[in-house]
Amino acid sequence: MLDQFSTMMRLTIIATCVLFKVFLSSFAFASNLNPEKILDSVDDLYRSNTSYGTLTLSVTTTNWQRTLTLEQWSKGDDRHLIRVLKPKKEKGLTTLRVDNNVWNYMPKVKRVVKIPSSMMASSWMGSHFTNDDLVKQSRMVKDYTFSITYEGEREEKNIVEISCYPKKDAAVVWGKVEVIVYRDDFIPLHIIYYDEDLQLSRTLNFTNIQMMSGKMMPTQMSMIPVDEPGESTAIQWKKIQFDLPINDDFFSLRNLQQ
Amino acid sequence: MKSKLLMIIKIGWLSIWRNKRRTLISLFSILIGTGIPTFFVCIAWGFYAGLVDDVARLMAGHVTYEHVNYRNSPSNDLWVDDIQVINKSLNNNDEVLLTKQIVNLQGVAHTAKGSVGISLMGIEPSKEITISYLPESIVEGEYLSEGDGRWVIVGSKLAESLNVNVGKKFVFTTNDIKGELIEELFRVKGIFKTGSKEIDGHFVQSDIDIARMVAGLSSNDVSQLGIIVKNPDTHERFLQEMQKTLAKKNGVFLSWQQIMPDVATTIRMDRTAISSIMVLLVVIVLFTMFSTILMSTLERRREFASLLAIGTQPIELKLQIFIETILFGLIACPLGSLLGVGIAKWTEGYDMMDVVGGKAEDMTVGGFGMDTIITPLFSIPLILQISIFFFLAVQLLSILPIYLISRISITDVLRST
Repeated sequence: MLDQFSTMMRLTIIATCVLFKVFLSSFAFASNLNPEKILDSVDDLYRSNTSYGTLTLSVTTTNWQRTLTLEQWSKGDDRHLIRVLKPKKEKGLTTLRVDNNVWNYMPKVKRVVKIPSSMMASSWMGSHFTNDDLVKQSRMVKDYTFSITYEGEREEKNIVEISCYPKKDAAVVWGKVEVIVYRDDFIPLHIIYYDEDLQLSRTLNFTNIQMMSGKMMPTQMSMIPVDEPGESTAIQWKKIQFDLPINDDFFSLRNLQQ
Repeated sequence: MKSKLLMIIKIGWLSIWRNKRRTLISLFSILIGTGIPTFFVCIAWGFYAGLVDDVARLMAGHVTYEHVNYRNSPSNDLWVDDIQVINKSLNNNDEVLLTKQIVNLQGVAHTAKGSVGISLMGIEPSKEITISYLPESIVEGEYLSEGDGRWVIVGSKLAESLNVNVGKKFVFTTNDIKGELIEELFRVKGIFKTGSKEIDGHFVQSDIDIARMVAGLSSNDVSQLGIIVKNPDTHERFLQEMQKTLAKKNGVFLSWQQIMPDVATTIRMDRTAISSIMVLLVVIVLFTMFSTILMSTLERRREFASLLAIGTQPIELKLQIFIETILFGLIACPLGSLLGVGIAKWTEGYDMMDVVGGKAEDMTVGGFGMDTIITPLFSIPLILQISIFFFLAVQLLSILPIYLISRISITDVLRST
């Protein structure tokens, strides 16, 4: 009888351990962190009601390198105006985005050109970003299913890794996107894009975190495509201000040409 | 008079067979002269006819009905009124084999690998299977079927550029009828290979319903209505009739030459090039024929002089020579046509690339791949035209020999031998 009891006890303990182990492994990364909130904060990193800033865009390819100084205004998710300040040769070249439409103003020929859908794949200002990257308004929480897949120390940084998988019919080219943020303030560290076969495609790195306009943010972003070794596009924010009063009329074709 | 003519014909007939070798050489030159152009025309015109039919069936038909401004600016917001009424009426027309409703969308396909400009054509898969060669060109996966939704077929080169295969996805960016930018996800159901760089590299087909949905069109609207006619040779007349009877104010019927000017121009240029080569060939052949006819006349000068000396009228001699050339033409021209047709028939089914070498994908006309399998076109009017041309040419070639015989000096010729 005692033997039977002790066997049962042993089995109960083992079963409990097994269940605990299973429970632990299933909820290894469960925490009070809300991945939706983290993804929204990454999406809204450089967004606000309105914003104004200056930045440099450095494009490095295997054959050439160039740096542009840009001035940008934004309102909400759907209005952007970007104007080239330097170099002199391209000064005044302006891109306006309103909703899903993009126009370029070329001061040398004094012409406004609406970018058709067939040009959406073309490089924007020769960078590794496309015109399509400019007009994309999608939010990760809308297009992807997501979960926290790692939480803890990695490379001496306390991070949270969120793996996002596109929803079945979402118009997303990626097979998976990993968003890696600092655990404390959700400032992004890397966004890693994988293709449909889950092969690494490109990495967006965020560095040089500084306080700007009362907000801690990475002031440098660099896009590194995997299939073009040695190439990259880096964006360095020089100045950014949020919530300035900007009228909707500012994002007009008339202002584009000024 | 009649008996005299019959006698001259008989003398002419007997005369041409007196020297068989000379006659056979003359007949052979006329036969070859007629046969070679007939052969080339049957082959070349067969290629063009096959190409036009293939392209018409793949794209927007032999005759296309579309918005009057669509040609200048193929925008998604240009569709025509009452298209279903016109479609029904066309399907009841005896000259129409089939109609195809088409929604065309221009845009960009994106994957993680990159982006490629594409032309997406929304079609009715069940009809397309019966008319187009594209379903037979599937090398991987399957062709479309009704209600396939986001499943599409793409060209092999496009699949390579986008790094997709069957089951994989790409995002398509285009403008809807309001001009708004639209992004939609599509998945690859099949991959086709036609041999044309343009078609294989930039062409995508989907079910028409999803194309309408992407464009923002209603379930009755189309960009184009393609009409496949039973007899492509009469499509111009058919087009004029339809324009008068069926076309709405904002719609226009256009021929395949207007829809695909690149193909039409290339075929026209190619035909001109072939015709130029033919002219050179004809000149060489006619010169050979002229030599043999002239020789066969001049070497009988003594015979003609003797006939004139015993009282034969010069006009009778001229008539005899003329009849001889008519007989040459009547024998050799039909035989030449038969020879050309026979050789063309013999080559039917052979792959032209086995003869000329090179790659089949290099054989494109206006961006469309050509079927390199030889399929001659035996157009009786065309073959008759060539045959009659050579028959008349032979008659013209007899003018100089007749003229020379009329100037014959009986005494000089008889004394000279």
